[in-house]
Amino acid sequence: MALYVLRRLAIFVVSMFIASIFVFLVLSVLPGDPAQVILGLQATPESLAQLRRELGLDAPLWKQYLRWAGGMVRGDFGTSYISRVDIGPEITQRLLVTIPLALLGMTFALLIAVPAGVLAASRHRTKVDTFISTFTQTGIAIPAFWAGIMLIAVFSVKLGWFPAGGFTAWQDAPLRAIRSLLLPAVSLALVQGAILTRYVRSTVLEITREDFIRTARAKGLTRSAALWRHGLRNASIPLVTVAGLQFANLLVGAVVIENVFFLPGLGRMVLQAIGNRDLLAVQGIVIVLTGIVLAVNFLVDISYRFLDPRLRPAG
Amino acid sequence: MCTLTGVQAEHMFRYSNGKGDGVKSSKVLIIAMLSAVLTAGCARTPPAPRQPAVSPEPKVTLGATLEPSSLDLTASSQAAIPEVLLYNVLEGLVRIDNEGQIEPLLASSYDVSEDGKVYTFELREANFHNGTPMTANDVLFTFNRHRAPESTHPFKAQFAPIENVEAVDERTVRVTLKEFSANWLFNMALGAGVILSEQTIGQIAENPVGTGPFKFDSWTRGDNIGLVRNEDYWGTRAPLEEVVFKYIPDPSAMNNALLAGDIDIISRVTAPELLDTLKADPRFEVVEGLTNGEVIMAMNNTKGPLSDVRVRKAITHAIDRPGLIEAAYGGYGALIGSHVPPSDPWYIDLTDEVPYDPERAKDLLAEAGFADGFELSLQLPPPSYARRSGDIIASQLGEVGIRVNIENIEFPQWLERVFRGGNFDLSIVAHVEPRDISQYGNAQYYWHYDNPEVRQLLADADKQPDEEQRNDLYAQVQRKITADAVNVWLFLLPEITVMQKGISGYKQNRISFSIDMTEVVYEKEAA
Repeated sequence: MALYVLRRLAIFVVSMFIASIFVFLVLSVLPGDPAQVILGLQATPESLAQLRRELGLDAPLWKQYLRWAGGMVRGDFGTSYISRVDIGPEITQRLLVTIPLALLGMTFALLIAVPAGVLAASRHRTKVDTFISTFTQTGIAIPAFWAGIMLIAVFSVKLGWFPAGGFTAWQDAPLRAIRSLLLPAVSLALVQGAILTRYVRSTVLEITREDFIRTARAKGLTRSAALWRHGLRNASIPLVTVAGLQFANLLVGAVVIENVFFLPGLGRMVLQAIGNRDLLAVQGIVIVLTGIVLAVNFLVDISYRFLDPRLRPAG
Repeated sequence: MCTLTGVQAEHMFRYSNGKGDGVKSSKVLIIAMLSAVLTAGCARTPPAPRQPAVSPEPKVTLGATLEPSSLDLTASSQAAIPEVLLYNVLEGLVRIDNEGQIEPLLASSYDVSEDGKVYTFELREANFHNGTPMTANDVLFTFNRHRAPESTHPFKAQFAPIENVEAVDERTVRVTLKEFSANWLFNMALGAGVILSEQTIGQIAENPVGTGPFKFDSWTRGDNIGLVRNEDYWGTRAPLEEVVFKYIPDPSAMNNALLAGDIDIISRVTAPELLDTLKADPRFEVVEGLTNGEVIMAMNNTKGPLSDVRVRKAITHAIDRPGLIEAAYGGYGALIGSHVPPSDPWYIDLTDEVPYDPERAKDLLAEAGFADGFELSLQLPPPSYARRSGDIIASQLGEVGIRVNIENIEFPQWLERVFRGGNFDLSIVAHVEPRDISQYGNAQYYWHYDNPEVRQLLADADKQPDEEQRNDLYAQVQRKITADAVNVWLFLLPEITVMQKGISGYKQNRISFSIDMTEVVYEKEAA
């Protein structure tokens, strides 16, 4: 087990390293000079050269990479070209919006998907199944941002139950912070939930045809009792895999949703940073997002061993 | 209770402005209002006829599109910084009023020598927000810091005319220019001229300290910037206790925020097609003001067919500018005929000089030897006015035989390729810098217009102390560049504001970059 975890960890580290080189190279060939963006149209050539020197943009690329990557290893994301403040704390601040949003979205999605999927599977080929399938078809077809706009139109503009967007900081009022994340999380969850429902349904359907379910039925369990007690655990492995993969999608969705609800999350920050050619900040954010996705994959890999005793090494 | 006077009530209002938690201060406010009502009730006048009760709101939340990345306007040219800080938090010796006139601010008065080279400023007794008094030394520090050789101030060139700055005494500053400059004082009334303190200069990127009627309070990055009233202000206290700039990049999200009551003002509407619903809503008021942002289609005056004035004129004739304003900006935005907004003192009306006339355009092209047409690229930065105008212009130029290839690019790319590289045929962009007609004297500038006569006129104009003669010189420049069809001056960027009814004192023109909240009053009708 320990060896397995170590091997997965090694893969994680190597992936991060490769990703960091990739991210750095892609951004360094982007056209646009940060110094010109900062100083604008009336800047003199001398001030531009001076600023480039101050920002370290005149150093060769490999040196810039080493300085950046070296800092990252020590947990130092560097100082933003544009805002001249440390990028690390800024990213942490934004993660406090984006991660709860994605987690809340995933929770809602699972709360929709597991009951609905199991229900559809257990009522296979009935009106309930058809109804849920139609619903999920629609859910997959609508983009999250559109769902967001509709939710705002109804719950903020018409009914006034929720703010139309914006975020109250956690330290100011935790409950209001959650309140400002509810509508965005629901917009994300409607789409994710639809995708996951279909997945749960087909997985559970497959399992109902397995031998062990027939055995469970034979020993006297009802159809749904057999499903809930024996089927669900077996369905959990593919479900965790898909949910893990979908989490990456959810983060991307969160970037879009943050702009609809004007939440101060990582998505807003990355768009702003790209527009300003704040390359260090963009690199930092992309690396953090990569790290999160890789970490989720790592956890999914590890979780198999807990969910399925057969995958644990003997002894 | 009848002994409580208005003064006491006023005092309680003041007390409630302190930075307590929201609950406490609103309680105090209620008591103050209650006592004011009770005091009023003591007077022996019959009760006023029933009217909707009006109470001044202490706080206004304003929605803006672009959030600044830093609050240091001495290190970045972002217009979003002075939008928040100029005149609200930071003040210069002089300021620009709503009509574009220079008026004294931190200088109670100023005196200009006969030859226009020596400015003597008498300073007011004002304190910085941290309590230290503002003196002549702060002016010296600010000006000398920005014009130092190692300075990377984005508007360093505006300090170039200064020969010497000296403190005559603690309240008097004398600035000597190398030669007379018509625009130096005007520039000092904008963001570059704000007076900063040496003590707090290191923190201005995150916590700017100035002398203005509002103090910087908080910045939740990605969401909002909060200002609170400066109770120790040297001048008239601001009516509002609190101003919040809320940043919402998406135009429909901005509308929703206004409809849901999250914001009170949309400071600059970027999607006019969304205005109709707001206009129909009795809760809101839509006002249109002027800016000095000229939206131009720049032409590369040295490249290929564009080096021929007949071709450039043909392009101007081929574009239906009133129709363009209708299609690209919903009819908002004024026509301009050259690179000068109507608020500048030397503006002359040249809007009909090169009118829409496709037939004339075809003739001119044939005359220049391009009867069969040719191809041009059009570089479009992201703002919606550029992208929308681009599509329309491409089709209108197509009608006179010019094939236009549109390329959508990001702003940093625009800076590199078009602005610095000069590598383009056509490009649409708004020039928002005030009084920027002087760029037509710079042959290196990205549109590469090289006319020694215009260069001489501009140089003469900036050195001409007599206002009338100066305006005349600038008028000549306008006629020249219009005759040479250097660029196509499409329209003046409109300033469309949507606000809750009951808000007054908001400056609807945007001549400087400031979103000036110093006189805004919000009298909300009680529900």
